[in-house]
Amino acid sequence: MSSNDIPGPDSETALRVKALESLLLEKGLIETSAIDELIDMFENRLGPWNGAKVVARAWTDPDYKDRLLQNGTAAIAEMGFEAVQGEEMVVVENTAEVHNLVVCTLCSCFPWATLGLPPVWYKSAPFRARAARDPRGVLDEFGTQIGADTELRVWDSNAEVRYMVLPERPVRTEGLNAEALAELVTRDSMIGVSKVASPD
Amino acid sequence: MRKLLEVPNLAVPSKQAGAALPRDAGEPVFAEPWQAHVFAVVMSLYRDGHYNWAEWDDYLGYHIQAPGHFGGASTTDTGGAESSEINTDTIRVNYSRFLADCEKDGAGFYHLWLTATEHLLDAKGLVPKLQLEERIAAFAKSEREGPRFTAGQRVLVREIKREGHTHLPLYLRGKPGEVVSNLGLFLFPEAVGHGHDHGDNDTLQHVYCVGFSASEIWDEETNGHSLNFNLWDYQLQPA
Repeated sequence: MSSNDIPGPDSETALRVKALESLLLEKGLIETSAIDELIDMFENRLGPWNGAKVVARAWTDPDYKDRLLQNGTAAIAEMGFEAVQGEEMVVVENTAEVHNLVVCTLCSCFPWATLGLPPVWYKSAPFRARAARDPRGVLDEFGTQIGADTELRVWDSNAEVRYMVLPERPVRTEGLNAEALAELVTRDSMIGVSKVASPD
Repeated sequence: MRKLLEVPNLAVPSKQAGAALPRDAGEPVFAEPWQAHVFAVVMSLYRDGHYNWAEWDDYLGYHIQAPGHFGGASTTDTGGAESSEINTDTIRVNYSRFLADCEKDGAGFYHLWLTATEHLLDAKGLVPKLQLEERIAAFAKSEREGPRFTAGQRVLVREIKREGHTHLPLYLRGKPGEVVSNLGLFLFPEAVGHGHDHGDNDTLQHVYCVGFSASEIWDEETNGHSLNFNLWDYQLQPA
């Protein structure tokens, strides 16, 4: 935050937003129903459960996985998840040899269609700065172990492309179908700060 | 009476049954309703073509990278992973000082988002800064002062003499009545319509339903019915 932007208490900020919204409504630039619909979309319809379905399908359908890694945008759209702003999706695969981590060092770009809005820490300056410079340290902070010889690739969503990680399928999941697998997949694993844990 | 211009209510729509699957740490998408609203305002204006995404991004980026934003962020501090420092406010196990710093800094993100929105809307002439500040002051005033009258209170309709549409019929001026209910805060159409305050009345006012007895209004024998009329705060004074 710059010294000019030091926020007041939330009640003061809420007042600013209310005032702004009232002027926009009055000018006919926004409508209450559109605002409610957008909030509902981002609270309830766009979220990591979409990405989890994509991951689970890729784990159970090799042809789909190929398509997903070849053309993420199309393969994700195939599942019915369309990019909100038409952004291009690239999916990167975690394996025993390669670990991928996604960051947006400039601001907070995030694959909304598959993961929804980013978590608070993802938008923070400390995460953005350190993920680029010291990704192993960041993984350590999240309690994520990767081998010393595992290749670490950091992807910065600084322009039009949005990245999503295809995490490694955990062990002891051989008998599970796509639906059960999707329940294991976490948002953090699709950002690459953690792995998907085996079922209890 | 014409449609009242309502004050927006910063509520967030209720969750659709079954849709709200847990996020990793069970945290909400928006920490505060105002964050959801400022986010949706930006998306709605973008969707309706009032600016393109690159324009918006430019303003957001400018505020994110304003001097001082990175001041508190250390790029070399790796000493945060002290397992003894577990933040009890969170359900994350082994929550490190680094992650706590991230949560703290990231919590200011929607403030930057709001600052960028205000800046962009002013630059595009959609919501001039002065107009916004006036409206904020009006909201702050009404919040500070609260309603003047409560249900059951005796009031008197002021003898307002002014040209133009006053929303006040002649037959009610100077008459006594009783507050039936407070209908809430509304934007006063005259102030909004003319784009400025009249001086004696606020942009944002409580509207009351006031009950009158017909015999008191017309001073004659009638059927004794009551008349309920909606009146703006400035039109009333304590009886």
